[in-house]
Amino acid sequence: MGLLMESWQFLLILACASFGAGTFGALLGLGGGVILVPVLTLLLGVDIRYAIGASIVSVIATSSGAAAAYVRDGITNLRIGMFLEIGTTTGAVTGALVGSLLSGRALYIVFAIILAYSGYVMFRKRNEKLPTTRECDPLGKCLRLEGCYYDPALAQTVHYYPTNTLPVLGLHYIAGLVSGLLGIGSGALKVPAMDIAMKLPIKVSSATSNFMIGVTAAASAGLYFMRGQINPFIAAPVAAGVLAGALVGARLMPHVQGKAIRLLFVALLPVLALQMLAKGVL
Amino acid sequence: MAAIEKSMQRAKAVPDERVARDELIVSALLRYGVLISLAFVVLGMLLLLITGETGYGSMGDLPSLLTVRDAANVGWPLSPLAVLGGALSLRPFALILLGLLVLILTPVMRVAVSVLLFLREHDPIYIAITLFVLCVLITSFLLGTPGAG
Repeated sequence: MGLLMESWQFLLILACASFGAGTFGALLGLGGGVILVPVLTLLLGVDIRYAIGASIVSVIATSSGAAAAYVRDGITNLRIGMFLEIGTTTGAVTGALVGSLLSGRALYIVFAIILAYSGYVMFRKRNEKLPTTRECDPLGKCLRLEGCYYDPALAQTVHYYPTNTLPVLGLHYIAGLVSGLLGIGSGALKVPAMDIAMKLPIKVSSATSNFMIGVTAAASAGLYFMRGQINPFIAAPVAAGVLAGALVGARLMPHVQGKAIRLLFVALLPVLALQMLAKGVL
Repeated sequence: MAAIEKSMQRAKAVPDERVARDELIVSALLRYGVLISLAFVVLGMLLLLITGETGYGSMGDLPSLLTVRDAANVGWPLSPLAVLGGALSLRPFALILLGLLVLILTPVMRVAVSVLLFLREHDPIYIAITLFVLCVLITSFLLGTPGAG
């Protein structure tokens, strides 16, 4: 059906979908590929190779567009982001190096199970407004990871004390590994890891995930660029739409209740898990 | 600009002023990267739609724009130098790609600037952390790592 469309219709639909992907991505700490790839391949009839190239552009656009606001507003925890990037970047490189040794099929299934489980745990936490930890673990203390931000939705300054620092670094290594192997955004793994294990407020998890996802995506974007997988006609409306959406999403987020962000994330996780499961089984 | 002034005032209220100032620098870097990128992408798109030329041939219809071709005759430049050259002669596709290159480089610049910020603060742990991440990033560029987000 996609190929019967006029070019301007294509651009309009894609820009609107990208705007939505950017808004949701900014709110939830994801790259927006969850929304964009199906729109591109199923609705617009774009080849998966160009869809992946556009999805990478979307991840970087969401990340930089949203993080500019979150860093300024002090919601992103820069230290946590930079520390966990050790895991995501080395994981991505490992993924690229060992990619051929592992079965993609099994990985999709494992990834689907992790996502579904994360969704379940985050759903159980739905009534918890803010984390209750009052002290960092020793490594977190040594790295000075504790932080605070002003939450307009709660009308209070929220102090938080990250814990399980080392296990969360490990989870981010796995998140990087998965994205290096499967080429898909792992914001879906980063946010639950920070939310469930590190016990950060959900807004800090989302904003810090937004901060991190651009870096790993940038590393692979160069490759896709030189392979010709970043089609300017597709990537242009995606970049413009996602950036606009991310700016809106980042403006909204401080005023949205953390509970709403968590529930939105919980609603999206089963969809992602099913997408992954389908890839692993079919 | 008003937003930056506002955050400057907020920064003064925060106990650790240096950290807050670093946040403003990182935030400004991301914002300007994004805005410069957007300017090139939009300019390229407008020129494309007005002239009907990609700068590397006529625009053609939608199916031809979406056809996957091998890297040799893909219909747009693939090396940064070729993109820059094309953008200087205002070729629409090259302008769009230049904007995308700026977008891709923005997070990398952010890591590089973070190294400098921590160097200035004499913060050895975080100098080591950010330097390590920068090295891994450079390695992955050299390896051509297919890893996203």
